[in-house]
Amino acid sequence: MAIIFRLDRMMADRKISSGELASRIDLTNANLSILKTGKARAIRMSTLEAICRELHCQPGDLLEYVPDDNEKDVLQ
Amino acid sequence: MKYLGEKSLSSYLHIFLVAAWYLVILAAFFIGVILSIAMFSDPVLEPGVSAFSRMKFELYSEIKKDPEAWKFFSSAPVHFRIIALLFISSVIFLLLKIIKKGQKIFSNFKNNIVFNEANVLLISKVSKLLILFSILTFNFSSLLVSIILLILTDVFKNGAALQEEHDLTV
Repeated sequence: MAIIFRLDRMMADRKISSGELASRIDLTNANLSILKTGKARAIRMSTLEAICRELHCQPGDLLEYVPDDNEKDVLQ
Repeated sequence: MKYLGEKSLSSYLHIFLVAAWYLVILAAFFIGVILSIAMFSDPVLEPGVSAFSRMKFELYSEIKKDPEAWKFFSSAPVHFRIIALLFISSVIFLLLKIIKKGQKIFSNFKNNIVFNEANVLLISKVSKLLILFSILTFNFSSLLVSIILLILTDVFKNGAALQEEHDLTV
């Protein structure tokens, strides 16, 4: 996946545990771990909004685009 | 009426299929004993001392009441009898396989696992086995059921894909 969700880094910055974040944004722990391990296919706007609200950040701080190996070849 | 989950139609069907599994095995055992006596022993018409020969005698006198059937039965060659036995055993084997797969499907439904890759595989296997079964037994109502199941396989495949998409949307 070329899009990486940098939730771990942001949570470490804000010093918040994943259990606490899950309870604050009304998400189950299982779903939050799907998000953190990068298995998620899609993210709802409401979920993204709640994460940004609780972590006081912008969506751009959470999401990062890293080209895949074959995409790098195309760019070079 | 609940169709999925605990104490629902699916859980009762699961129990019914478990019972049917043992009933079919029991019936197959008795049918096998009677058939092998009838097909592979000499048609002697004297009641012997053992229970086995008494059973044989009763069976043969039952067939002898109908002269046409007796003529057909006593003149059937050995390879014909072997083919008949193989046919009956393969039908029973298919029935047992279908029941076993049905048990798994309904136990999944009982546990609220509906749109799943495992169920797709099970339903497609059941439909193929049922087609074979209905052709072997000339039972064309179950052929219709198996064609509906074959279509339902695709429905379940789409459902499983949507379910996965939904589960991975956070």
